[in-house]
Amino acid sequence: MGDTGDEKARRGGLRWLWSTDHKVIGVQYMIAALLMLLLAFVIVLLMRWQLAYPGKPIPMFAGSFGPNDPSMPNGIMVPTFYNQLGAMHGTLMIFMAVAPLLVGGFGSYLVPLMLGSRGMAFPRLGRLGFWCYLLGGGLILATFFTPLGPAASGWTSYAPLAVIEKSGQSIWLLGIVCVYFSSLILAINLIVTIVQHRAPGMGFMRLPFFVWSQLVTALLLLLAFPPLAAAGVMQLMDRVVSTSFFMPSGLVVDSKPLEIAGGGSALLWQHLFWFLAHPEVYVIILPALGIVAEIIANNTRKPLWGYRGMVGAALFLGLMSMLVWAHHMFLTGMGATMNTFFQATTLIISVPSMILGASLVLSLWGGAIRFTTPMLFALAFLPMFGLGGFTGIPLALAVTNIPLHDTYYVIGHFHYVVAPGTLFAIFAGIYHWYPKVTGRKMNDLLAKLHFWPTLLFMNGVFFPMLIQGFAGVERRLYDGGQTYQHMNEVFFLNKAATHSAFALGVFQIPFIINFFGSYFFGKRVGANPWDATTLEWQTTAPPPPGNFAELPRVYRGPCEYSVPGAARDFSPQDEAEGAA
Amino acid sequence: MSIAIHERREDTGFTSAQLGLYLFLAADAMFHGALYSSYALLRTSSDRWEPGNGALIAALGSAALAALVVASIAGRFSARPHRVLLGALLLSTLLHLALTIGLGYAGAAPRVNVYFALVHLFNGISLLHALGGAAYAGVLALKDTPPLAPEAAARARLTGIFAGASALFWGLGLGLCLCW
Repeated sequence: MGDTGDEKARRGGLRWLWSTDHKVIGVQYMIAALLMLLLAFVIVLLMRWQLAYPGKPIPMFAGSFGPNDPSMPNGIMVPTFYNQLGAMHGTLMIFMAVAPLLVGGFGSYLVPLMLGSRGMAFPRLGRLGFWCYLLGGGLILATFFTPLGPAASGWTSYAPLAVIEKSGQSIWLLGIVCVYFSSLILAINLIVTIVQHRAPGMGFMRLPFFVWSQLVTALLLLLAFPPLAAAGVMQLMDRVVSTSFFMPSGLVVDSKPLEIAGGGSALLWQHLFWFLAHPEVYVIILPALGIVAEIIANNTRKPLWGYRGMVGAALFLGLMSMLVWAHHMFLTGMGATMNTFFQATTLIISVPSMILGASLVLSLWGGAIRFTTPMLFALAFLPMFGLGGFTGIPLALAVTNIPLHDTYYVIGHFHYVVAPGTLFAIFAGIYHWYPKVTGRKMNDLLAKLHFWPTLLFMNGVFFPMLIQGFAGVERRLYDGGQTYQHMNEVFFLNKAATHSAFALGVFQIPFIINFFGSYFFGKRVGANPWDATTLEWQTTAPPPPGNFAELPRVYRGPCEYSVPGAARDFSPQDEAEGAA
Repeated sequence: MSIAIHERREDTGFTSAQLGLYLFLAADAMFHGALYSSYALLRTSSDRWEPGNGALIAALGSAALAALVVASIAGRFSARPHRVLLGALLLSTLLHLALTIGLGYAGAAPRVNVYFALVHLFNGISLLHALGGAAYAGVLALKDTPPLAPEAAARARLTGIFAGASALFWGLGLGLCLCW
């Protein structure tokens, strides 16, 4: 039997540091990623203030900054610092918060339990992966303390800007390489666990859809991240040993020719970067879909509509996601042939996305819906994800992409996928599995106080961006566009979005109170408070060391709700036919 | 269900260690794929493509490749695989190192042009593979003494597969640098 790490987990105060138990590691990922999420959100609040009130000091914080502060003299943000915050917001959200939360947190914690396993296939590697993640995060955050501040070339780190940038770009690159190692380890561990550690009777078509989503996600991380790691190494060489992989000949900076060999290609970076960065969207969205699928099946008390189709669509989506990267590069002048290929693949990828979304919507039909808090978030996810998806279609076509590409429309579209979309799924998952992790339920009143304003203000932040984008407002404008004439009519939307963002922040306070308070004061619940069918609910809450008193055997599919003739409206996977 | 790392699962036909290694090598193949693609893109689009030092690269690079191939074969067929693995992988590491230093002395540092940058990159990545393999083989040599238990033999075989894949990746990179 594999070492589950439970013995070490029980030992003394250091258990949280060295435990190889997947549950401990999962919770660690979750807490660390939630902190990163909070930090990245605070960063964007600073940016939003600057966009709504350019050149005005940030209230309350203004007194903390003297007139000689390099980033915020007298509390007024300087353009370089705005760029740095933009780079760090994207980096932290994508690489350190959302993806680690969904795969490292939910995946590490739930996958072995859902499989009926005692733990991950490689427990020590799981621990190493978490340390690599923390090291990467530490390095990226450490760039705030370098003499010239953090990386300032955006989360895309486009060359040649990223190579000539004097601030903490090299440390940022080292951090990304550490995050790569963490992802690689996590992906291998998850795939091997899913393939090798399934309970007897757990065929692939009996896997919960959440596990399928984690499997496809892990495959994406495994295959799509290495090119970015290679690109990161090359960019680091460009910066540290003055190679010219991404540096074309004849570059002039500050009226002086750069002293490099040249002969490189700036587009090479973009190809390698987007080969990961587009699949990264699916790394984020697929586990979110997995979470929502579990919650919808549980709260409609009926099986998922088209389970097999959803599995096929997820696999096809994963495959296609690696063939669409250059739709981010229509503006680079790749030529009509390349544009045609990538716009075709991008349109094709909307088919499996549509199948997944439509299956979830159709799963609601005829269900006895329970409007629990997780279900509210899951239901809100559907239109938010839908809006994110539909607004992507014009960006798939070169002819409409080119005028929209550098506008706020892209920001709005992207955020509808990863912010209202994915974050709603994350909140749904936290409310749903919190009783399993802690043995206590989160407070319903606080949860509702969290849900409704979040739904309102999340849209208040991102919908104006779509309107501004159609008005032609460019992104990356430090002053929010106030000096541009075409911005005049839609500048007020900056204020609307900023006020919504601050209100959104305020209404996360009930969640934070609920999250920590319920651990101590939440209502105690049994092992299966939602009357769910999958294996993680068939063990105690919280699960014991080794997960199950006796390893389960699986007799049925993952969402057998309201089976005709059954005594109850749910039939757990480990319940033999006719046992209930 | 929980099975040991070197225990074969009936329905998949794999041990977890095997599957883990194959997955790692798949990721490694993508990493190297990115490097080869970079070579191809720069080879076809660079306005400063100036290859050189072919004899030095061919001699030391081929020797390093041969050492990796020996390690690969030893992992599968040798009676004392750990020692041969360790020796061959260390030799390969040294030869990669010699190539780096040799190119430096010949005035072909990475910053000179993108061709040499790519040669150094391929060589450095392969060096890291050989070094990592040698470190693991060293641990195995200390831990698993002959006659080898089935688990120890399985570890040696997997190290050999890793060395074989490293040889393939380096061989392709070397071939690109010398022939195109």
